[in-house]
Amino acid sequence: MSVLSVRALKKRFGGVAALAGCSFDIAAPGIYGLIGPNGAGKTTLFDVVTGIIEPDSGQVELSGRNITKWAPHRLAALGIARTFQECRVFPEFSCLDNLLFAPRLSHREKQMEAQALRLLRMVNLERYAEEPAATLSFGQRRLLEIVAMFLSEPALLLFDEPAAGVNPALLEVLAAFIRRMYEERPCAFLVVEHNMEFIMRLAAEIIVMHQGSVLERGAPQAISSSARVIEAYLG
Amino acid sequence: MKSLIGFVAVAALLYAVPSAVREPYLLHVLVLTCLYAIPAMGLNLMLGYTGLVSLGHMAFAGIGAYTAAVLMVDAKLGFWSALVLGTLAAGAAGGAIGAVCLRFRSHYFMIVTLAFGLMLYSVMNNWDEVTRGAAGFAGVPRPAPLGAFGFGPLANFYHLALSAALFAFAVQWWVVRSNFGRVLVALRQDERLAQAKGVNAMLYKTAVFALGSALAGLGGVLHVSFLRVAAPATFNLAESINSVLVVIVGGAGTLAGPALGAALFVGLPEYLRVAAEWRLVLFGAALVLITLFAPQGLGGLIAGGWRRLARTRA
Repeated sequence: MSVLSVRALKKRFGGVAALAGCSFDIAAPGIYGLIGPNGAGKTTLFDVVTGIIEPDSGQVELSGRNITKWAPHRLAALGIARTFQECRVFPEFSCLDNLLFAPRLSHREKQMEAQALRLLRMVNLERYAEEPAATLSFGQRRLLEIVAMFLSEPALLLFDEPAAGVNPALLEVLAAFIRRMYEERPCAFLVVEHNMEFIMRLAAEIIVMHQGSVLERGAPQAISSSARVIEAYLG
Repeated sequence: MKSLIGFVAVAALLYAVPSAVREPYLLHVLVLTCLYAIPAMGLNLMLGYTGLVSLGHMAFAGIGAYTAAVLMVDAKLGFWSALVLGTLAAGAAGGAIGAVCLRFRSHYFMIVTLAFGLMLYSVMNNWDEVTRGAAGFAGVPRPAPLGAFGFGPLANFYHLALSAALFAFAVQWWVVRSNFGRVLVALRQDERLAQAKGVNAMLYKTAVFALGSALAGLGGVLHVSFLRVAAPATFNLAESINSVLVVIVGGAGTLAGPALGAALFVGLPEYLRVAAEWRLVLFGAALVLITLFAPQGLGGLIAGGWRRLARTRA
């Protein structure tokens, strides 16, 4: 049974088909890259999987369970965590509270605190634990947003352009952190990214989207030399 | 712990006012301040903590007030049961109407709450058989005595209004310190993120709308019992907007804000006998200054000053 299974998803915005029968399976745990030119439908796909927008047709399954059109909070309770392309954190909450905030954690917050501090230490944010998130730089906020996904032990993690706007030094920290988290608890990581160098090194398998459906998938080396992929990017 | 001691000290001081002050007019003004502060505390939970700007808040105070008036005068129910039922009716109406309004966001939400406020006002103003219409619902009784303690004397009614205001304050306090309150604050900061973390936004927002409306209802029942008449004008659009001003000027999202705002907006002008027209002009100016220079209102200003003072001493 696949962790995530997407079947013939369609979504139109006016005259634009953002998703045009998109189908793929994530059969086993792993770090998967999701790439494609702008407008390929990657973020729309994330928004459908996380329940923010409803598809016109098609189906999403999580571990064999049909979760199409479920509300975002129910999907979160089921173990889907995500970050946002525009980077969202709670600016007034401290970094620590940003990690601890999740209804499914509230009853054992004290036990989670040590774990939260450990995660912050891994990305060098421990000294900001008590500072409001608004005081962080953009790159640090990205890290915080990503770190904040892990406390609730999700089954499926969706990263929407984690490397965007992050400087090269922090990028190394970020990649190391994601790899480390995967080693600690192997589950399904799906990473949308435009930074090819970053994603080719991070992911074990790449899924390429183009015009609302999957164009190709395979190992990073195979993808970067695929004629179809190069053509899609160069248009 | 420190804040609890402060709260008890302030409460004791306020309870002692009638024994120190013999001037009835000042007590009258203090009662009105409490009666405006109670709905404002409800609105503060919605506006200050959750970010829901309702422009129909006082209409829910009206639902509580008219429910209690009808129960007491027509159904001959006692004051205390009517107080509880009026409060609950306002809360239930808030939950039901809130669930509709909350389908909309930001300024659309404001417009829909404004529309519901106007509709409820029309009902109060025109449903002559039940609300007695524009003439007002006369003969609303003062609270029934509790043992030997009657509420006819002004000082005693003041103690009742103050107790209700302190109760509303305690509700705010409890909410803000609870997990419920933390979710509300998260929703104000970023609703989409809160949902992605597992928050059922609609449920929480409806709950706070119901709670805020219930507090409005509590204030409404006491208000008409104090004036001994329920009039639609007490619950119209202007009063709803006043309530928003009270919260923002006092300090949205601070515990003491609504009480400070009510003292400044109702208490002070009333005591200084400023004409009602001038009141809005002065308040408009204060509002502009506060949004520009003290976005957290008076409450935030005082808290900030206190922190600075504590730092310089340390």
